Amino acid sequence: MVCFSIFPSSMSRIEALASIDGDSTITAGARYFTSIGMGSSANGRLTGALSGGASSPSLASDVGSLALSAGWRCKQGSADEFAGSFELQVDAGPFVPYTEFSARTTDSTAYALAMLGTSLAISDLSLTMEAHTALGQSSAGTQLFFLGTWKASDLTSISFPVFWLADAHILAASSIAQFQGILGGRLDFSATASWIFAGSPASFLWKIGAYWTRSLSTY
Amino acid sequence: MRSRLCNKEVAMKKASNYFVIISRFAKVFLFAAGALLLMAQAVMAQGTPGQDGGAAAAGSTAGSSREADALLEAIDSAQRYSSISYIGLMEITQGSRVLKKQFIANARGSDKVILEFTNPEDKGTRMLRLGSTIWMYFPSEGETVRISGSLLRQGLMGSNLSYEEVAEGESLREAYSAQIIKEETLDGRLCKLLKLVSSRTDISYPVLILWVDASRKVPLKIELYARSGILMKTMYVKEIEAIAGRQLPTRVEIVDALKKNSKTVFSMQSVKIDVAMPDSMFSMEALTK
Repeated sequence: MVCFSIFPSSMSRIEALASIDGDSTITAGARYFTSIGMGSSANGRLTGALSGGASSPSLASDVGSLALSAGWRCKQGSADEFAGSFELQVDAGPFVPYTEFSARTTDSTAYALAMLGTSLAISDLSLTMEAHTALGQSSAGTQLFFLGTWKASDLTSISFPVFWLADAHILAASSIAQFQGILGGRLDFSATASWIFAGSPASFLWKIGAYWTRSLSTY
Repeated sequence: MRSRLCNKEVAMKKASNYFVIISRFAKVFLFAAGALLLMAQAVMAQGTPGQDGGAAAAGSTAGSSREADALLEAIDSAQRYSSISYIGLMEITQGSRVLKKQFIANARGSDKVILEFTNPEDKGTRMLRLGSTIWMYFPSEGETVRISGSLLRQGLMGSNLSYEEVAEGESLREAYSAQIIKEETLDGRLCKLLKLVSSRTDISYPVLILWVDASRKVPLKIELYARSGILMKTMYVKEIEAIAGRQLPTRVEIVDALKKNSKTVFSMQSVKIDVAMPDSMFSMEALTK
């Protein structure tokens, strides 16, 4: 494999690679990744931090990142395959929307995967929402993910994760309350409800639990 | 046949996407350690609480306020530098389990920091802070991640430390007001107790109490309190070295007040101060090299 990188500015990178596998599969691709900054001279429009040095004021107002990639794969006996992707993350006040889109095609098939999400942090509340979907020749369904966390006090937080897996026809919702400093550790209460819509009637599962842990294994 | 293969690939890609989501969160939890050491660094390097007294110091005498100001200024001037580099060691104790981390740290001013972990488990993992923006690089995935939004708060399930704390580049002087509350002897040394208070809501620890060595002007112990008044952590300065004419804490023990047998010993070796650091040290190239 051969990999080559250049850095057109202090916070961007262009990478190109090529490889040949043992089965004569040839893969080649390129990726561009950069921070997005607000132009230091100006009027507030997005300029892309393409010319900033590390000492440039634009870095202090970095507002996001952008990635573009493209690739080609050639395998003996198979049609050539092409792929490309786009990733963008931007700060928009307390919201941080991000999106990814990737597509792949050969001579007779094409499909794409799209992801859109945002996170939000206001006061003691944090929210993350994300949706995935597949387009084109694919059996993959839409997936939705939501996580809300409320820091109720210095030692207590409550989380609400929710999943919707369309292809598996599963909806799962939970509530988790965590209390730190209980007997030198952390006490968690959780309640989870799951609906599986694949059958008729839909089945319903639930679980409640409590556990205490001393070692939090966060490192 | 081809269609099935494609479908399988889509499924794998889908699973991969989920893994990315999970790993995004997992990484942030894993990097709580990084937050911890950066906070320790910040306290050691900028442990110079506010000097204006202000409303929070109402009730203190004007004399003690002036003395607090003078003491803080002395500490501040002794610990002010344009750049610092060192090898950091972190020994994390969680009950009977002990983890050891090692990293190389370079910082310039208050807004540029780059860390590279060198212990086998995290080798090559790097973290770059530019102002309030944090970038992480994970060599196993070759992935660069910009931390922002609610991700900045991750880690709160297990620790009160978060990326937000790491991103707080301002000095304590800007965030807190201070007063001397009493004198006390600690480890045989006369100390002034400084109480730092912040009325701001975006401060992780609104109250700090510092035991400052009266002669060396170095904090020997720091208690960190939540807004509710609960003691969250205590830092003990175990070693102080004279480096470049300054008294610098080089070994600090951080004890979690909420978890039994949970502490981190953070130490600095090969410390160099005011060395030239080019812009290229704080760039995408340095992060992903």
